[in-house]
Amino acid sequence: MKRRYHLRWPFLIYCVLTLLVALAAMNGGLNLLYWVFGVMVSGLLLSGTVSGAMMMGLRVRRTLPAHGVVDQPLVVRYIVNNRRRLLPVFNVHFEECVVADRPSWDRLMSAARASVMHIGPREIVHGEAEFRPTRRGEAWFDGVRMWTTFPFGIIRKSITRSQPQRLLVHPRLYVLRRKVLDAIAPPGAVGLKITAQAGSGDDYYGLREFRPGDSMRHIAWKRTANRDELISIERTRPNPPRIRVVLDLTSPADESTSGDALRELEEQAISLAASIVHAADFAGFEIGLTILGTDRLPIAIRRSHWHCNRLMAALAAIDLESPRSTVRTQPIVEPSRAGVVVVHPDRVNPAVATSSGGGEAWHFTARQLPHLVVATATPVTTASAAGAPSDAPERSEPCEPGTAA
Amino acid sequence: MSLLRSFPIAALALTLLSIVGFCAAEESVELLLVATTLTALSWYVTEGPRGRTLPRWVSNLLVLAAGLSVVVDLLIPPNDIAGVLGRFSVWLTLIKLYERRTARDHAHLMGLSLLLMIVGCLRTQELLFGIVLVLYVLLGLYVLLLYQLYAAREAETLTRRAAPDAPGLDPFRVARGPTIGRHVGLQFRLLAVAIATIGLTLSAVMFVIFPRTVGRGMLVAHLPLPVRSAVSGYADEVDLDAGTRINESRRVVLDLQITDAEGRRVHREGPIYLRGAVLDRYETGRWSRGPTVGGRQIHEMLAHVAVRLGTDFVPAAPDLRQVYRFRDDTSTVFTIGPPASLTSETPHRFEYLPSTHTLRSADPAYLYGYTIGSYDKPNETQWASLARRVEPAPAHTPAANRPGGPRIRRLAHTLLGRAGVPTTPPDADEPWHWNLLAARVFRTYLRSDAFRYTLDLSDVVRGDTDPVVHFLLEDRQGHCEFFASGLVALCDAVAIDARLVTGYVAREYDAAAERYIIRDAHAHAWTEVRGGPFSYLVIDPTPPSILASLNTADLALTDRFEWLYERLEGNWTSGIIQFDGRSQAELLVQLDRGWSRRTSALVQGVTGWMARVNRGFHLGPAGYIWLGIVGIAGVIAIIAVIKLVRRYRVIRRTLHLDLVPAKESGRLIRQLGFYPDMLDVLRRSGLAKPAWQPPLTFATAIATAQPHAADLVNEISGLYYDARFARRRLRGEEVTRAAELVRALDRVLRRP
Repeated sequence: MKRRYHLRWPFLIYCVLTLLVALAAMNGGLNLLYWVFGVMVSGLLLSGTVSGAMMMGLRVRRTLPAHGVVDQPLVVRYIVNNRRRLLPVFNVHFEECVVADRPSWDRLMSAARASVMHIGPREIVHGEAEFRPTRRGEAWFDGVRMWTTFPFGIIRKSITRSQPQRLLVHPRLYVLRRKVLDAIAPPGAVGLKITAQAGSGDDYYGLREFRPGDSMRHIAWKRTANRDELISIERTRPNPPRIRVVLDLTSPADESTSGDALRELEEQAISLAASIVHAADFAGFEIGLTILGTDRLPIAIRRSHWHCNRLMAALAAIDLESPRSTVRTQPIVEPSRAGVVVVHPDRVNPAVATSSGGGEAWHFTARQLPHLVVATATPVTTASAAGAPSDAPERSEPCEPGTAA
Repeated sequence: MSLLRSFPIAALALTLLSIVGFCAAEESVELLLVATTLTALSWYVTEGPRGRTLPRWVSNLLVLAAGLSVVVDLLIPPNDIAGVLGRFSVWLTLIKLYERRTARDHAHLMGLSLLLMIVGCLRTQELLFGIVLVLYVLLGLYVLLLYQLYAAREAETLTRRAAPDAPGLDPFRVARGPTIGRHVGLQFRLLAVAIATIGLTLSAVMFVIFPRTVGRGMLVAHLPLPVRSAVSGYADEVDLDAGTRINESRRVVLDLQITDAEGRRVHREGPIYLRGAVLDRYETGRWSRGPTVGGRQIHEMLAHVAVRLGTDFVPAAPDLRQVYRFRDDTSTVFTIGPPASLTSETPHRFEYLPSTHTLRSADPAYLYGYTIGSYDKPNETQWASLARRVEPAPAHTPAANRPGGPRIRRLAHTLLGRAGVPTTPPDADEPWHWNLLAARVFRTYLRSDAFRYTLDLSDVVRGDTDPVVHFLLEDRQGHCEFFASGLVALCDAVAIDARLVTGYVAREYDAAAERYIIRDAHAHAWTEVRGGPFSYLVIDPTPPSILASLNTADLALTDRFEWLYERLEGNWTSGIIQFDGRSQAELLVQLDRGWSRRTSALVQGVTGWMARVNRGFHLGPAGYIWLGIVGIAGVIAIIAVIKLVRRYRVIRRTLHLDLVPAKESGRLIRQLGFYPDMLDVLRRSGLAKPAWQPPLTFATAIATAQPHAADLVNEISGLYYDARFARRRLRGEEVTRAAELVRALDRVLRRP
């Protein structure tokens, strides 16, 4: 815990004014000014002691959300406990300190501040600071600085408490056009598919003996009435569409694109992959993820809230500065029946396109992003992404499967 | 939040108060009417149903006009810088009141209001302004506290409005109120009251202890500061330039009982003059004591032993006995006429000046009371005896400093000629009768309608003219000091030996107590004119109706309100405005005396109690040693009990024994003191246990951080678990062993 008094401009102005009053009082021997001087000095003393007494009784605990998303509000809550028996606390602000030895939060988002106007004695209140991440990645938080200028705004007293915490900021999410997801879904009969296995779906699959834990609603009462034991109804397991998103982060084919523009394209590719994952999860697909060019192992195709978060975390944690392999070491073609969509940063990598099974995979590039997302979605802010790419299709539709550069 | 909503109106009230204060200091009714009306109107205009504010260009134009008026004001003499600054601040304040007001503008307005009050302090020190100033400080503290919340809230609102998904822009986003706990209004007001109380107490302490003699007049050449103030009470010096107003404090200074030679109480209808100081030296508006002529007598008085003053031979015994009881500390001894004998109630040291027939206390100790014997109407022989046959010297004022001069001499001659009195004594060797005759002519003139008695001279512009000359020849209004000074000046102009005397006039008689009550407001100045070789007679030029009004028994209702205000003003003046280095010294002496008295009383009480106990137990001289040992043992026992209670509370808090049954709790407290001791040792080494961490997890964490201490911590934690959670009663040797382990842990952690 670090305590500090910040003597800023208001303090200096106040001191100068107090000094002038003292000079005027001494010059004229004016007792009223002597008293005013006494009041001003008392204000100075009280400003330091009251703010110090208030702040020393405060305990703060930061609660981070599970993750943040680029361009979406990231609300960090501070649970503030005033441990004083009698003294209330007014007008306290909470800020995050920059972390020195780890990837600090300030790389990904600008500073924000939480304010709590009042905390009664022995009370706990929650303050909120609303950050707005501008980049994805790993953000470390450490010191929480709480400060106040109460009561008189002359002296700023701050206390910093260390609380190391980590947060992942997920990539920016775009709203995909409807046909994008329809197109990349694996071909098959129209409607929801089911498997030949028992599961948690809605359709009838069969009957079996009651097992402890079965819901009463699943008991087949007519059958049970004819027997001496309880019979449960089994349901089918749904078999939703399955896709594997492949993010190609091997070296770009177009060597002329480099530097910041390349990084931006890679970021957009990550965002596009994340948007596809998010949209597919929302549509009930089972999703898998493969990231080429990094040592990250492919993530199997599953469907759940946690699985989706796992995929998003994998995309968020990609470190573009780390060394990347240019050779594809992981299989792209999904052995199970699943659609494959490959996202490239700049141009379609021929090697990847060839190995992906020819016409069974969809290939998108980051340059096609404006054509894949709804226009009212979060605008693409970078110059490289804002301009219409020369190789983009004119129609607002996803590219054909297997399109090669 | 209603607290925040109350801020703008509270800030407006503060501004209004500062404007009222400044106008009261300036005594400008016109400015008060205009400014307060515009201020009140600004609330309706800006915060009313239509809520209009001045456009920026209009307010800039108005500020420019106010600036021009400042330039014009400064060019027109007299250069009243403080007044100009104050008026400019008033106009700026009014312009800002009609502008759109953000938190920053409110801060500007508060700054301007502070400036107005400081300028007001430079202009006046009167009670009315003082009341406004105190109210301003109290309200200002509250508004300043409120401003912190208001400004923070406004900054937060602006930040949220600037966000891309602000509540106004994003329909799914709702505006949030400030984060507050329960009873915010009540707690805020209580805190404000506490801060105000502490702040005012501290400021009072600062006011009392700040040295008054430092830096006086260091900027006066560059910054003349006109200050109006009021004075009250008796002083052994008269400064005619000091106070522009005299107020009438009703504070009781002393009471007086007079008895005649037969022991009967004396109550006279007319005023009784209590002589305090005889001032025969005049210099530029200031009367003071001249050098002592004929030596002085120092009397070391014993309690209740009378001492005769003057020569040893006194023609007759004093026929008046005056018993004085003081309510306040003073060094002046008041007497009716020349004192003939003195009796003190306590051992005391007095100084008697025969040339002026005055007494003074020559002892720093408090003078509670004394008794004076005097002659009701002393004859010349008695005067001579009391003056030790030292003929009084004429006034000690150098001729150049005398307020007379040709103009006053002409006036004196005119007055004497008009009354048919020769301008020079018929017999130069025996001028006494003519002295009194001429002085009475002058007194009649001063009591005529040509002169007006007033306590308020705040609107008198005197310039460089001598105050007495100005009083006699130009202004012709003033209070008793001016009347007495005028009479002395007229007497001096025709070579009559006269002197100014300050003291009290006793008029208010308490028939029940058979005493005269003397108040601050009864302070008076009059003249003594030499009426014999050794004698002086009282000639009071102040109109008698004024002296009659000093008795306040027959006040009307309105007069009583005025009386109340004047009483307040008197206390304000004597307690606040006239508080100076001497007052500080007196306060220090009183405090010192008070502490000494209390300490000595305490010591005496303890000593007496010990003596009684000693006598009761027949212990003899060694009993004091025994009592001392018992006392020390008692102190040690108290300290031990305090430490035990504190340790008990620490163990109870650390082991979370609130919900454990009392019997079990007692056992745990007796046995598990070693665990808090271990935590304390670890905390001192920077290994504080987090509140949420279970003991075993903590022990594991210690094993990582301090491997060499891990075994000890594990063993202690194991014992703790056994007793606390397995409810095993530890044996004595186990508790001892645990304490040894804690000590070993301390040694291990201290080792570098």
